[in-house]
Amino acid sequence: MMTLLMEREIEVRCSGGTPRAVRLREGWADIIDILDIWRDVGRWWAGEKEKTFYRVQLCYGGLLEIYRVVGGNRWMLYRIYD
Amino acid sequence: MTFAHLHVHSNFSFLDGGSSVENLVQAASAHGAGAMALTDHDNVCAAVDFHRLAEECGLKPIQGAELTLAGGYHLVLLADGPAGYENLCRLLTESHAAGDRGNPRLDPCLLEEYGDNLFVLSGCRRGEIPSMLLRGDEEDARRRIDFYREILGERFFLEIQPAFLPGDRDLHRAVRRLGEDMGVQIAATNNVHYAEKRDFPIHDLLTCVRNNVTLDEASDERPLNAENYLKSPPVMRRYFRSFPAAIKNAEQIAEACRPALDLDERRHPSVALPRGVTPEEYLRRRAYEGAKRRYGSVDVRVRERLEHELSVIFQMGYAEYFLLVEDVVQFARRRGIRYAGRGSAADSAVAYCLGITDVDALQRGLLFERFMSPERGERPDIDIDFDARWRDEVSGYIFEKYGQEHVAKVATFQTFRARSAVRQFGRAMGYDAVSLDLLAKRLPAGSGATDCRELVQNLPEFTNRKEEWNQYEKLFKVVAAAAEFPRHLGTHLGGLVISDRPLNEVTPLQRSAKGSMISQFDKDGVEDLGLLKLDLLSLRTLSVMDDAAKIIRRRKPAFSCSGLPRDDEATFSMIRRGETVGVFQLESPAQRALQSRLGADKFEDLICSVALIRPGPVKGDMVEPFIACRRGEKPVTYIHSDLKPILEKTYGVVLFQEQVIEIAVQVAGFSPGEADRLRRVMSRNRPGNEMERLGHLFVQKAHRRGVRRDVGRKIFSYMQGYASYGFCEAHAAAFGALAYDTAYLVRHYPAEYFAAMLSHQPMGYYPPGTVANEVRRRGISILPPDVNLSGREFAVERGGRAIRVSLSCVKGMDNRSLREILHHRPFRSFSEYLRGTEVRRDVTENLILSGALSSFEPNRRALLWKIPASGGRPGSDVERVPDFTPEEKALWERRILGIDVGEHIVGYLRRKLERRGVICASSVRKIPDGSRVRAAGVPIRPHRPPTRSGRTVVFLSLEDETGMVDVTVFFRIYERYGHLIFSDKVSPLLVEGTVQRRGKGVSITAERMEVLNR
Repeated sequence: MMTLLMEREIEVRCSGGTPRAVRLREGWADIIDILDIWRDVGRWWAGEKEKTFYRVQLCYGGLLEIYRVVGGNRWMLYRIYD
Repeated sequence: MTFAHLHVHSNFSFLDGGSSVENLVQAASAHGAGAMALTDHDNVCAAVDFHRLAEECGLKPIQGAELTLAGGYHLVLLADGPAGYENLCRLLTESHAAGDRGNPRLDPCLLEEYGDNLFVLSGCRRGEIPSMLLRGDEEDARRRIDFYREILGERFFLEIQPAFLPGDRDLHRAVRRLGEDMGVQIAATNNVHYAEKRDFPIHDLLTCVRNNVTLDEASDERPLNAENYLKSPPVMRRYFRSFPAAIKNAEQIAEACRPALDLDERRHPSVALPRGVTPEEYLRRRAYEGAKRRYGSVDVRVRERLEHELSVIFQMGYAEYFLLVEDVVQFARRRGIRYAGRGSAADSAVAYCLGITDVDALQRGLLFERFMSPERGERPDIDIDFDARWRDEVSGYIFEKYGQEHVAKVATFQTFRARSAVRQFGRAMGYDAVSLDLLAKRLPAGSGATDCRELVQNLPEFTNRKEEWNQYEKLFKVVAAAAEFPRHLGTHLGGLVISDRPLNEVTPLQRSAKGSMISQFDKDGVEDLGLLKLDLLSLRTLSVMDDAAKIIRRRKPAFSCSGLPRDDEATFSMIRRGETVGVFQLESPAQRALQSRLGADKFEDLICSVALIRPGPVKGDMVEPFIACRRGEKPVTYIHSDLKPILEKTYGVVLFQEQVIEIAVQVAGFSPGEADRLRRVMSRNRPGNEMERLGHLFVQKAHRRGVRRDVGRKIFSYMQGYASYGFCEAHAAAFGALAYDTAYLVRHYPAEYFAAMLSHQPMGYYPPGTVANEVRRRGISILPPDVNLSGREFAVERGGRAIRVSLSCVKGMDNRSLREILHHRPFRSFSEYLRGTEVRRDVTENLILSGALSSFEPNRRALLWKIPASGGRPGSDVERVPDFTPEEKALWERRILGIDVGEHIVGYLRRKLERRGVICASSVRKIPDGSRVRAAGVPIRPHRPPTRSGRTVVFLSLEDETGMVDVTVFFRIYERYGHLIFSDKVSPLLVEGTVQRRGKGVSITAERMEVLNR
């Protein structure tokens, strides 16, 4: 499976802190399943903040990885699976 | 029972735990947990501390470990009660025996034999079952679950951890599915590696150190995130809200596990006794037999003292301990191994009568309670120094007598010190290796890891390049955080632990680097576990005395070091002149300066000297008053008559810990045991309420005995002031005896003594070069090594007027080369030497450069050319190559032998130095007080001891061809020139300053320094 690294901001709708939908170019797509969640401290020694990653399955079958800095509001699109 | 963490690593999971046991226990307690398990990697080193700390916080301690299996998989074991703990110890011992040293590997089949009373958890992702599931090998995982369930039944649990790692969701689903399918319960854990989330950085850095990578480098071992902290019960419950059974199971395991350690049980071995005799009866018999030997007859005084001590020994249940120690020293005696009991054991007349110590506690009026009393609350500890060469033979006797299964060495926990922490953490943080090395070398050896920042800010070696050191601020912070973290298990120098039952039921055992079995507990831990610990220390001074006596007996067959006259005026006269290089305990510059002022003329003076030159009395300003009173320059006064019999031997100054006890007994009527407890509280410098309470109590009790309250308060202030640095008199007496004996040998048999001392280097205060210089100063020549004349050791020649350098002293000399030379000599020529021996080439070169082959040909360079494969031919005529200059030869000799055979290297510069107005060390002694002077020499042992003022003062000796002169460098001068004194390479220095005379001692107070150029 091919993947594409992105690193661009993305709008995400949450409920109870859990992502429920993402806004793509075509419009909002519901997240039907969270396949995996993990946290990564990154290069903490260089000041990087810990991030929480989600691998999500979208309603139309797409697969994405998005993340948010722990305690932050902005969501970033990290990877798209082909 | 609220949620309890069952999988927790402390910093005793060496380099894989970011928090101390204390921090973990406190964090768990703050969360309101009722229990916690400690499961360090392959050890239970922290079990005793964990047990105590947990109980103090109201937590149930669950002892456990995470064991490593073949393939590197992990498995968590938790002990249910003492039986479970025994099995845990057995399994840990087996795992260490099975793997290579440092790589324990448990065979899980051993759980069939030793799995009772253990709960077993499947481990983190590195557990077998999780690893198999992550690989997609569900069938293998099922087989393993079957295996463990077969052996352990319902005591086997799968683990799920909220680690937030990629793949966790699938893994947890798979674990739950298998658990349900196969009827195996699941417990929630968190694979804790640090107490709080903010401790993560230190854990990641430790991981980098362990794997030898920098922060910027990837490694499989490095944690991806900071989730492995001691999560609170609400956080754990939130994560497991869709699977509350996992939390409940963890709670039930914690509830079921009973405490594993019983710290009240005594586990001392039995000693062999005559039939029908109890240990107490036998000890009494042996003590009285010994008393008859020591005293001739047993009068009332002796009897009363023995009975008093025996009653305490019996009450505390230590009769067998004394008999065991007596047996050990008897073995040493039978083998002719020199030994000396030291420490507070010398406060015991029973120990004296049994021959364990050589200090007559009764005659000296030493208080037994300093060593042993029921109120003390501490176990007695007998330390014995043995001739360094035979100490291991004595250990071997104990192993053989009590059985290999019952004896092991005691561990030490090697911790990060400043230099090692700077290097290792610095490398992990990506600092340049060369700069790190420079920084580390400048830190004083032995500095604590917490001191780095302060040292760099204050020491002159650093302050001249301050900006450069500022970049290490982050490093110093990390180093301070990791200070005292245990790095790995080491072996205690002389501690042996002996048990009544197989040791592997009480402590896991593993192999040390040298192949001996060590317990996983340090000296405090083994004693807390009720095991008997014996300290068999090695002291090279005893070896020197033994060898010196052997050499002396060649011309005086009846000579013995035992029973030397203790009142020899010639010996005391030498001591008073400060000529004590080579004398045990009295050779440091501070001691030599003291002796030149004290005017010692009796043995008691030496005992006081040993106690006086310590950080405490110096900081407490005890030295000057003592000297003044001793010399009669200041009247000795006592503010209460009860103090006179206690303090008159130390001229009114409180010097010994025993005196603090005696004062409390005589003045305030404390029992001796209570008084010793009081002393120990005082010695820990407890501030505030407790000290105040003790003060009130003392004054009150003294008042009831007729002592005025103001006098009582004053006496208490003396005790308070000195208790923290008073020395144990018994220990001072034991060491004072050795000090006197070695001084006697130095005075009357200098050649024999120094030959022995040079053969046992490194030892003593000074490097061998300084010892050799002292030999020459005493009019004894140093003869160069010679392949035909030198032996393995330094030897006395010319009727005591010369010492021949040994062949062993030659750098690089190995046993085989030495045997070759000794076996095939005498050699008539260099060619015969080359043809007749198979000595390593580098050793032959060093023999040439040290002059050991110069009897064949004085031109050393020519000899080098004659070595085959250097272009020369053996047996050929001497090449006409120019020889080394005398100065070059001297430098080579110093480099290869560590001593100056001919002229001291400074002697070669003497003419040049004289032109600059520099005088030699022996001439400084004649200069009047206050005069300006210039001296030069090799700096010896610069050091920065604690001072009264707290400001840094450096003391060093400058050594030249005529001896040594002591130099004092006060702070202002130290700031300017400290980098010359404490530099990476030691260079001879020129010092300009003022002569200071105190008594017979002379020193220079430095004002200016420079490196001496050739």
